[in-house]
Amino acid sequence: MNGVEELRSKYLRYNALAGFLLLVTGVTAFASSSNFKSHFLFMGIITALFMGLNVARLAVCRGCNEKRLGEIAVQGGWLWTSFSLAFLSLAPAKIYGLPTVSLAVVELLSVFLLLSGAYFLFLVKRETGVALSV
Amino acid sequence: MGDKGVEEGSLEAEAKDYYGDFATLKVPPHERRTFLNQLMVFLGVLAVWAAVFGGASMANILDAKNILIASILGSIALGIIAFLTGLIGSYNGVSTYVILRHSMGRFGSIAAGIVISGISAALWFAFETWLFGVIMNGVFPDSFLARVDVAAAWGGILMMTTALIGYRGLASLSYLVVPAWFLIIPLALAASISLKGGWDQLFSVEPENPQGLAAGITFVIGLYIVGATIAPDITRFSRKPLDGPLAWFVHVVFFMPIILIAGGWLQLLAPGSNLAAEMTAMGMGLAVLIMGILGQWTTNDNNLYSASLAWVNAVPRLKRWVWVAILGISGTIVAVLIARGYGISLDALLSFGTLLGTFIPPIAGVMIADYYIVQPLFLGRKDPRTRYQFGPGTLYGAIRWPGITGWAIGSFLAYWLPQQYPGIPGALVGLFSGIVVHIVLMAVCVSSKIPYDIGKWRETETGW
Repeated sequence: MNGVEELRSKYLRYNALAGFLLLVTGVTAFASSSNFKSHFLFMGIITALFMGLNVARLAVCRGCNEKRLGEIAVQGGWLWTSFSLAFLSLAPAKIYGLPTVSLAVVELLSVFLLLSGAYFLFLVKRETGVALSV
Repeated sequence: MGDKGVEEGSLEAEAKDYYGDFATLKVPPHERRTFLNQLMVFLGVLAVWAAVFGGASMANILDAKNILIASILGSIALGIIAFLTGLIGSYNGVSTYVILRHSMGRFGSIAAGIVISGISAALWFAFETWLFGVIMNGVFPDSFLARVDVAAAWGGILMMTTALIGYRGLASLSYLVVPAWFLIIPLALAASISLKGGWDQLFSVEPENPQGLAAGITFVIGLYIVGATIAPDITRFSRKPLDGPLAWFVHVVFFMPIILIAGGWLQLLAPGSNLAAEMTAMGMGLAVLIMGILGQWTTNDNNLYSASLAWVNAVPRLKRWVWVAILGISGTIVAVLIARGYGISLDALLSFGTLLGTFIPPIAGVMIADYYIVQPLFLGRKDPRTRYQFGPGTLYGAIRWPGITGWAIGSFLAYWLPQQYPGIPGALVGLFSGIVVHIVLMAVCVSSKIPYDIGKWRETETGW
């Protein structure tokens, strides 16, 4: 495996994992909210759709050069960071009535995704030289 | 009066990015950005409470169905206008104020740039910095850091930072904010509607002062016509010619109605309320706080960025970041003074900003007419990529009087006609007057061999 292919494989794993964790966050909030459940269903669908698209873009990026790979990875990193920000800021709203334990899980996962997204962005920037404003 | 027309191709001198962020030069290929990137930057401009409040104003004159229709039709009209201005930016890779050197001459471009962004966008920066303080105060009324004046002070400085960095700063922040914003706002609106009586109730409410659909469409166009005019400031970074213009079209046609409808529908159901306050009442204070800070930031840094580009085009020597600092600090001081009530009237500021807004659509009209009609049909410059020449050594007219005249007549009609006939949309009158006057005067000049430039100006190696 050459260097670019190794990077692609790594970024694919990171994006897939982030997508999975976002899905877990959404399902947890959906299952435990007592009002407006459809909101978390909507957020889960949107999140899964966009993260799925980005994972697919990375999957078919065989033979891409490092710059192109970096661009797709950075866009994925921003997506998961922003989506986690949405979960983090919406979940505590009292209208959703999330039980304390579920709320703690959702918030912890969101904070983890937010921080890991920031780390991933700087990792991709360092490894591919692609700007964060790609 | 000087030559018949003094544009020449640029000399082969090498351009130096003296001002930073290619403020007066063509954006080089390695700095160009994708469709998605530009879409994010434009959406970042829309992701702001002021846009939601703008939508709320429609509830005074339209019912729910007409708010929906006016938002969509007005947004489509804006999308078409900005597609045309944005395409000029992406073909040529230069800012709005540099583009205007061809249709209005070098000094005309300075004057137009100062009106469009140098003053107007700087005023908006001050207003939105004050609004930021108001929103922070609404979420944390007892906190010292959220006092309107204190929050405006730290918010203004914060919002200056990404504009200091330049386009990269604007784009990075937009990537973070935009997906979250456009997830949260529709959900908050849906929850508010449910809690305030539901969809049936919404579609049965009548506005206080009902007016026709045309008034609503005009209102929507007026809200964002300045943004449509200065679209080239961002589309100049397009990798492919259609990237930026399409991004503008998509963001305004598919996303702007969401924001306007969110404000308008909620206002219909609960007159006097606003979405930020409703969200706080629903326990979404954290979302209001985060989206308030970041959303206001992604919009206001664009205001400052465009204002700095306009001033760089107008005044030699000072670099772009210096202008950002000057405008950012003075705008923040104005916002703090408004908050403290130290003699600066917000109404006067907004009235002045609105008045300037009257003068801007004709500039877009002149720009569109010159690039798409005058240059190819009257001056024989068919290829859109080489229609305009820029770069060190390029010779421009100092004043291109047909363009200036189109701007002046368009501005007068946009200001005067709606006062005489209130149903007439000033923004559209200005736009189309600018187009027609510029075309007619240039047609007469070219066919009668009348000089259309007064004096000459040769571009320096820094692009000034």
